[in-house]
Amino acid sequence: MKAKTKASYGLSDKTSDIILVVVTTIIMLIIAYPLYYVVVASVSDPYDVYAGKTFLLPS
Amino acid sequence: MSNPVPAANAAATAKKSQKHGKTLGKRIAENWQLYLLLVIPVVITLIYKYIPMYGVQIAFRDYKPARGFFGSKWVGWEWFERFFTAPNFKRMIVNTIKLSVFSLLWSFPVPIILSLAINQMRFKRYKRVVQTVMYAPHFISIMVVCGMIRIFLSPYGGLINLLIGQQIDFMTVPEAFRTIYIASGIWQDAGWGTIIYLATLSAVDPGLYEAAKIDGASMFQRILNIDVPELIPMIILQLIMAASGIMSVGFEKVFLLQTQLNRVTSDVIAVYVYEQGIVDHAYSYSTAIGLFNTVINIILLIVVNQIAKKAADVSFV
Repeated sequence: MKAKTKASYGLSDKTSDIILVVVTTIIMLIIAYPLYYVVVASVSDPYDVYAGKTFLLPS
Repeated sequence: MSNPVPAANAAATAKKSQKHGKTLGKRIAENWQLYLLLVIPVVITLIYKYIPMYGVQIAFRDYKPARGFFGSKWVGWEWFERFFTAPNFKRMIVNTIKLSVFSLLWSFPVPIILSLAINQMRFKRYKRVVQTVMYAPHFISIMVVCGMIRIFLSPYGGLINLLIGQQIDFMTVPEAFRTIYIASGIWQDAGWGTIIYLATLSAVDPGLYEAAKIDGASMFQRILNIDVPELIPMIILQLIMAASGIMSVGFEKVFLLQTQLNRVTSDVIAVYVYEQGIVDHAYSYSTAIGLFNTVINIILLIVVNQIAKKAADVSFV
């Protein structure tokens, strides 16, 4: 009976944990990517950077 | 027959002296070591904060460096009148208020939500990684951040333009200025802002969480019923601090993101003070503008504090 009420009120702890990790990972990537991009862009070929070819790896 | 008012006063005094027991002189004599320590911050504040304030009088004078602060001619409210009748006065006030109010509205809730999420994280190691990454942008100087913003928004190979498949030079679009300013502000300082909230949340009694768990509360319910009430005094304190700065938009970032083409929305008081005071050497005029700004900020601080006192019984000033 108790378990039923619990389930009907909200997500289980496991589900919310997974959602939490996914959301914080996305936020973390959004925050970290500009920093990473600046590092990559500064060691890459400027022509590639201007042409928009540099995203993840230095070229 | 005694007058009721002096009687009440006498009672209050009696109560006060009962509470403290001793006069101020006696207390100083008793704890002179503590008061000696207090002397240091008081003297520093006086020397560096209060004594330089005599210079504010040049807002009411026609300041000439050769004549000095006290020798310059007294002109009263002339500079203030000049500021209020300046052609772009209205634009600057509106831009300053809009920029800071929107900035407050957008960026104020973000650290609260982030800290509530981080606080619920059960994987300690991962939690630490998330926190460290979130703090990182705060340590980049504003100059570098503005350089990064220009790179990202560049029409030639800028990331944002690549994503939307267009070639817009965002730095020259007046409508985009506020969005750029606020979004980059959130990116830079939202993580750092969580520190104060996380510190408050770490003081929550773990027993409360356990009790809530036993009662079958989900994570969201625990946040809503335990964490949020715990945070409210801190949120109000932060709001008071933020509201007192509504008229003072940071100078550097606006100045660094400003171009001749987006001035319609990026003209703020702080940049005007710089242009008048440092570039054009109109010292009295820029002091008057700065004084006007500060007075409004103090009024805002007091008003918000009064509202907070009435609404939530929390006050810090």
